[in-house]
Amino acid sequence: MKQTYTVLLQGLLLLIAVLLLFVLLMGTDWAGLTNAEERSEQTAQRVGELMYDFINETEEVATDTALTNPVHQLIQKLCRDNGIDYSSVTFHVLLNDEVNAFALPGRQLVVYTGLLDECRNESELAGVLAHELAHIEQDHVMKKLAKELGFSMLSTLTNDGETLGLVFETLGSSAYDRELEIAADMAAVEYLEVAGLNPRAFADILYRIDGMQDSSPEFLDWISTHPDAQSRAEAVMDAVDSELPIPEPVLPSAMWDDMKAAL
Amino acid sequence: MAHTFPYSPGEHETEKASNSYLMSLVAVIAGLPLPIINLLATLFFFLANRKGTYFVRWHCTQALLSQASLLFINSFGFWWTIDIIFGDEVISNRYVGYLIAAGILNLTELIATIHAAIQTRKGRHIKWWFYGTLTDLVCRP
Repeated sequence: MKQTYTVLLQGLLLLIAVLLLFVLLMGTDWAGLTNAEERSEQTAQRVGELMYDFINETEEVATDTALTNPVHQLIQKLCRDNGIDYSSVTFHVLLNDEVNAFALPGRQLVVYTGLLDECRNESELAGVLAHELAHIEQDHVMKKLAKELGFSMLSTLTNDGETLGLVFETLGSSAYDRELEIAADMAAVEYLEVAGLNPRAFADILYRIDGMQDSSPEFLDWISTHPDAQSRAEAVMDAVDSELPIPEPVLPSAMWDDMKAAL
Repeated sequence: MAHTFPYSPGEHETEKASNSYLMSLVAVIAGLPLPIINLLATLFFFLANRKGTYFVRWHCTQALLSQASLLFINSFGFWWTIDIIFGDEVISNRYVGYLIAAGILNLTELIATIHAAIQTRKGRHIKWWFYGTLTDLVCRP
């Protein structure tokens, strides 16, 4: 009997010691201790600068203010109202018929004119922009790149067109993990509500993507980077405050019409 | 810690008892990525010697019990890693902390196992804290 008590007591003490070891080590900020976060930020900044040059050299960047102004205004509003440092966010509108938008390292956002054409109102466009801003704010871009290409490759990235093309391709045509997509969706709903934009329109474009994937090849890029659009649209609708009134437009109607005319 | 055993084990017994620890060591080298292999190797050795002498059975049981408790820790770490590589998980402070803690426990077990294998081979009865007492309870002469 005494032996049983000894075993129980020793087992309990051992369990407590092991649990303490796990709690202590799992609660330690290893990334901070190894300056990993700082190095990751520096790498993101450097990759961002390389990507900026790469886009300007290889892609057709829209310079028409009729195309860039609505994007500029919406990003500015989303950032300002949600306490995001707008001056640190760079965006590029690229002349491309594909329906696509994605975030790049160094707090950059790429929007294709195909997406501007597809959006039926400013809130749909704002929804996609808010979603991509959330990826930037939650540092999903570098997480995805590090996972797909490896952090060592990113930290040694040089001005090599082929590798930069691979980074561009990876971010433009492969999906984030589902968990990250949902996190970005939920943050986007919040950004839109705070900025007085209609989050239901974000769900609308997600529903439309899901419905059109068989018939519209131009949607393929957005579909491949945003799978399960329907279930995500439903989750967005669930997250929207049901009593939220339909907000007034943020952009002057002429600005939206000018953009559509310029496409 | 070395304790006195009810009888003095013979040469063949000390060799087999020592091998029960070596078995888990060999399996550690081969089976690090798949933690269950360590346990299986020790389990097979235990089954093969379950009708052996008391000294051999006692040490096979102690080796098996210690391996079994590490199985849970290693398996959890293994599947967590798989989820990071193929699933939605990302490397976090919690994951790094878990791996370090699991590494410390595995290293402690490894050192204790090597020590036990050497001492048992010399005929000394090595009884680990908790596992030794537990073995006394479940392994009868």
